Amino acid sequence: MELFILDGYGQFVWPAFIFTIVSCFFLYLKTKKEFHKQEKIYLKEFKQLETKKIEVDKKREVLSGRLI
Amino acid sequence: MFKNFFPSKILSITNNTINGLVILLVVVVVIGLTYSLFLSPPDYIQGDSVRIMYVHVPSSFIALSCFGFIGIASICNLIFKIKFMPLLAKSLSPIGCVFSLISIVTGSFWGKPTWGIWWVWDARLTSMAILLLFYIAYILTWKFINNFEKANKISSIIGIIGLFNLPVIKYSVDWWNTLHQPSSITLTSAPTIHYTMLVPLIIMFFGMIIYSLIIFLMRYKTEIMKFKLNKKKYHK
Repeated sequence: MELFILDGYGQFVWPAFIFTIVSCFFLYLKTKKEFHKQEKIYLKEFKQLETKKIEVDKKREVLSGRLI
Repeated sequence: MFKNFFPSKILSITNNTINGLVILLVVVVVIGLTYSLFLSPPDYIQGDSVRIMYVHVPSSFIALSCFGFIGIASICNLIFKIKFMPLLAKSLSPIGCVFSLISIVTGSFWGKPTWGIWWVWDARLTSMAILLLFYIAYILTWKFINNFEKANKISSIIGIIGLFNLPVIKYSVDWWNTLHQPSSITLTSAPTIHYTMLVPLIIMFFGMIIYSLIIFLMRYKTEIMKFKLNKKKYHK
């Protein structure tokens, strides 16, 4: 119990720590949510392009191999 | 070092790296909280209220550092027109904003038992409140101005003007008579606090820096993806 009362300073120390943790956690959740949402949209838009790019590169490799 | 902030480098960072950092953060924070709340000794004058220092000091440091980076990025953006600088600065702003708010609130919780008052229009406290206002103005500029170039210009100006506030915050305790105590840790001299308090403070510092890095990586990656998607839409 003494750990929570902290010699009468618990009423200041605990809210300070709780406020810090809650604020940080809130920002983390908000950032993570936005990040995953954006990542989904981005992958949907660009994955196809990247696959096409790889296919084109492979074709080029094959062609250069034939030339050699 | 500079090349590590290039969008292609940032986009190549996998989610596993971020998850690894989160695990490291949890470990560091658990150790830091155990030390700062239970193991470190109370101060001989301030008693157990000194424990607030373990969240107040690192958050103030990060709030100031983030705006320092934003200011430098704004200068680089306006003068050298480095394209990814506004995205970098924009990603740092919510981190700095949250930490300056934490610094002010935890400072109030520390001020009440120490000074007998929650808030005073003291030079350090007022300049810190001004920093929070700069952060809010910076974030709102990006939020409410839809034109990228316009938002970029206005936010850069805010970033540069806000930069002048940083030395005021740092030296306010030396320049004016304030209720706020002078710095216990400086770069030029040895710390004036005992190692039993310095160790948890360093652990909490480390934890908050890892936390900021995680948020920064996620936000910067988000901003780069948004930018690329908008660019693609524009070219269509």
